Amino acid sequence: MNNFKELQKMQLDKVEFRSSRIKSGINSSINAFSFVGNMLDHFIPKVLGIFVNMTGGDDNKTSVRRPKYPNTRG
Amino acid sequence: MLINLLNPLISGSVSSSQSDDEIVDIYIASQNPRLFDILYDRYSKKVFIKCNSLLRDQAKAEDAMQEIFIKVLLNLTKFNKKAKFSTWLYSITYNYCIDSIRKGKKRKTVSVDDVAELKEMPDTIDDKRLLETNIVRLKEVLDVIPIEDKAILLMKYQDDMSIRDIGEALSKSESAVKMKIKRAKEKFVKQYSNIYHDAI
Repeated sequence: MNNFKELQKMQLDKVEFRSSRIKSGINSSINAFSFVGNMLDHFIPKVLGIFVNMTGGDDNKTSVRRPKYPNTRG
Repeated sequence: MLINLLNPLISGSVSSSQSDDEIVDIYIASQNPRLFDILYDRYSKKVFIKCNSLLRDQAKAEDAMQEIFIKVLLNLTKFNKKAKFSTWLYSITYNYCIDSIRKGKKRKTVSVDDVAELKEMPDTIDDKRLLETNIVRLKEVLDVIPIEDKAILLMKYQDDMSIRDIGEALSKSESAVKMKIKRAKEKFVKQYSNIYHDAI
């Protein structure tokens, strides 16, 4: 016999709370977090690139300087 | 591996019969909100009655529950499955409620680990007597003992958390947890006799 568990059962039987309001609150918070995350993912590299360009650097590290015309040394 | 995890999702066979760990794995892989709904439906009532019982305010309990589930979702990838999902969820619940009450009243606290008298003393209160306490009286006495004591008694006797799990939840050593349980039981018995002028 465990009346701690019986107490829990009793409370579960008569529990009432605004479940749908809480669930939608959770969903909207998570959506807001993921929206901010996506924004940061999209814009931070671009902002950094602009900053690097403004300070005289080359943000496109992977680009290979290509010759102006094909089959020439540039 | 990923395909195996996603198979139930693709076939639409994710059901409430799947274990919490399986649902957590598929949720992490797919971020499908329906899976979160299954976990929410499974545990929302229990989390709510814990919050309501510790915070003793319906509106605060609802807000706490929302924060707890957000915390759970944001930290789901850190869930290491050493303990059951429910144990992890309840640990977050108890810690959140204890912290929010502590924020309200700043008081001097002494860590149990630091107390010199912390020795392995025998636990003289029989668990059987405690577990057989009349339900109405049990609720009443739990409502008047300090929240930390109430939380630790609920972890041990209602949620069947092991000493190790309680220690991890409260960031305490196992001997400190044993001592805290012993003291919580003593406070329970003392309050019981104060209210009912009787021994449990």
